[in-house]
Amino acid sequence: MKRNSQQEELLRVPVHMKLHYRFPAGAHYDKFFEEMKETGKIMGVKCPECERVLLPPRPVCGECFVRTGEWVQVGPKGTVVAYTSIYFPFVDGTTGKPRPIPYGAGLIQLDGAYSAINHILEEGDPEKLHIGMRVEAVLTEEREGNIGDILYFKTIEE
Amino acid sequence: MGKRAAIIGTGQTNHCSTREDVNEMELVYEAATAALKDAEMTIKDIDAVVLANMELFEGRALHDMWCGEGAGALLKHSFKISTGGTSGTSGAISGYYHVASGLFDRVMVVGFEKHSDGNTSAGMALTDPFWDRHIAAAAIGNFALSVSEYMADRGVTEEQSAKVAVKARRNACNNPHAHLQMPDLTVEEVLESPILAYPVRRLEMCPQSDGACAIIFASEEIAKKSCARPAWVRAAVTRHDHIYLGEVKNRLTTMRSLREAAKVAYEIVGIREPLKEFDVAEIYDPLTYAEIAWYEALGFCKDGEGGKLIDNGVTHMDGELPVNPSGGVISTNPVGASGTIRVAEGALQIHGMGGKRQIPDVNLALVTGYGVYCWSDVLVLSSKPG
Amino acid sequence: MNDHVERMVLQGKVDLPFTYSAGKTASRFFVELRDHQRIMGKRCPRCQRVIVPAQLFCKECFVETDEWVEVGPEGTLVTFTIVYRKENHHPKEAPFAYGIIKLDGADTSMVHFLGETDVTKLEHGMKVRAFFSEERKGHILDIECFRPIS
Repeated sequence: MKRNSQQEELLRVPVHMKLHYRFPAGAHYDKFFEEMKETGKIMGVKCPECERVLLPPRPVCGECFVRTGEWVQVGPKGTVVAYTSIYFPFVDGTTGKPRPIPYGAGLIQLDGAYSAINHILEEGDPEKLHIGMRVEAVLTEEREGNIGDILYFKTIEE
Repeated sequence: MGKRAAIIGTGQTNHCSTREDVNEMELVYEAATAALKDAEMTIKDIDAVVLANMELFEGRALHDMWCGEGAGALLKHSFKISTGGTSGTSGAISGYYHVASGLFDRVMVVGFEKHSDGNTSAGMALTDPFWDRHIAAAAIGNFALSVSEYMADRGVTEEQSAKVAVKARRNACNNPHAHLQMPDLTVEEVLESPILAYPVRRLEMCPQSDGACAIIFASEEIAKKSCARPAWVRAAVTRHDHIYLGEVKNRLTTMRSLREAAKVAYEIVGIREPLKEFDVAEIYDPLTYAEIAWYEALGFCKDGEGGKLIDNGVTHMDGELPVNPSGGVISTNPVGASGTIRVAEGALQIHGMGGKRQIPDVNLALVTGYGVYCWSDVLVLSSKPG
Repeated sequence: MNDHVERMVLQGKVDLPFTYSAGKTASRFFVELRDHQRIMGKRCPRCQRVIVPAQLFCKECFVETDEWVEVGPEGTLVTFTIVYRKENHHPKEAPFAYGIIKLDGADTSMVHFLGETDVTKLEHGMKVRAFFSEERKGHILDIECFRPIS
């Protein structure tokens, strides 16, 4: 607690919240992460009605409200459809500490996929980033089966 | 079609970055008592209470448990709404539904947030743990992604964005409740403010505020009896879109949820030319670029011409359609209350109680809410019951 | 649907700091505990109840309270429990007791620890007394616990 004024002391109570959760992935995400971990392949899933390849691989197409079907390999190359460079220190909700800045982030439409994936870009300088630029997923050597297995997307020349 | 309902009273706290003199329940109490005073009622007159708040920003999810008594919800019919940024407008829509259903005659809605208790990054702990949580850089990072797409798509300039910030902070000077009042702010100062997440600068972003806002809805008979100029709810529509950022193309440009909600609301009221027909708009502008994008989504202009509206002063206080005489969310942002404030400010304009921010002769007001990058609420308020 | 067996479980963690404003009324309540070892309530001008801990407004009457009233430090144990099961999230190591105490002069009761964990020595309606911490910080735990008095 701290003191705020001499006349009327106003107190504030610090509380640190630490919570742990278990999130079962479900069959679709499980397959996606297992495939990425074992083979390094990024897989999307196709809606039988609108034929869009969805990433994240949703078990149900949100637009058509039908079960998705066929698995399709997408990427690892793709196109940046939106980007930003983060310059402000914000508290990472999973660690309680500020994340190092600056860094680049983008929405990347992987070749063969309809939806774009929200991920980190190796390039953090906004001057060197542009919409439509080509990038490729860089995966970790030791993969754990989560989205962090994609380290970032690197800029490529084609 | 439901029964007629109108807003007959509103109350707000003064919004600022830290209110250390009250805890959150007391903040709610302050807004609730102000609204009761405005409506010339006591808490005994209220049949039902709706509470609106953002989950987890203050480290709590059961905001009805923490703060319900501050809104006088003791032993009354009470509900909570928690839909991110739209909480405040969705809360108001819920209040309206209560009266429109015919089951309740007087309903109080209180939106509130005590940002200083927590950290907005907490909101990111609410994002999808499989796909988003490792990357999401608070709300600003996700906005910035959409803004880069929007700028490329529609050619909106940094200067146009900065003009929105200047308009908002100057309008806020006429609003005694507003958080950021900056009478001398210039476009140059906005453009010189530090980049938070490219291309979004600090002065283009909404602040984090402590504040609460209460609205009282009443049935037709009561509204006519107790309020000189009730603000009738003529339409209230809510729409949600995909949550994952990559799942909607050009999110800010297309803003499907807002376009759809506006289309339906306009159809209900019979509005064909929103720019001409509305006398004022209070829209949920989390950042400058969004306000320009909403001009287009709300049909104030053709797609791609949003920037021109701000260039030509169309949405200024003396323009054809003043947007956010209150200063908007860019000037005041207690998230759970931000939407409620939009509704209250729209109603105030119809009540003719806007003080220095009053637009002359307001008969039709447009109000919007925005949440979680893709959810939208649209309300149409009118001086005529319809 | 396929017969794929669900295997993956993501371990999620939320780790966040909060700082809650006590507000002017609770602040004074805590300052009185810290500086004067006094427990303060506030009286509702309408229903005349003395509300403890002090509150800005009476939740029954929906009006601001006005008069500050010192209560206790003795009171009556309304009810109690003894927690025997050990859990990480508990505020104290089990076994510990806590109860609802109605302080002398108060019309509402407050929840606090009891300094006696022998179930045979606790009973409903018995007199208890606040026992203050040596090192007080302006916090509800400036009252260490309530102990039975004879």
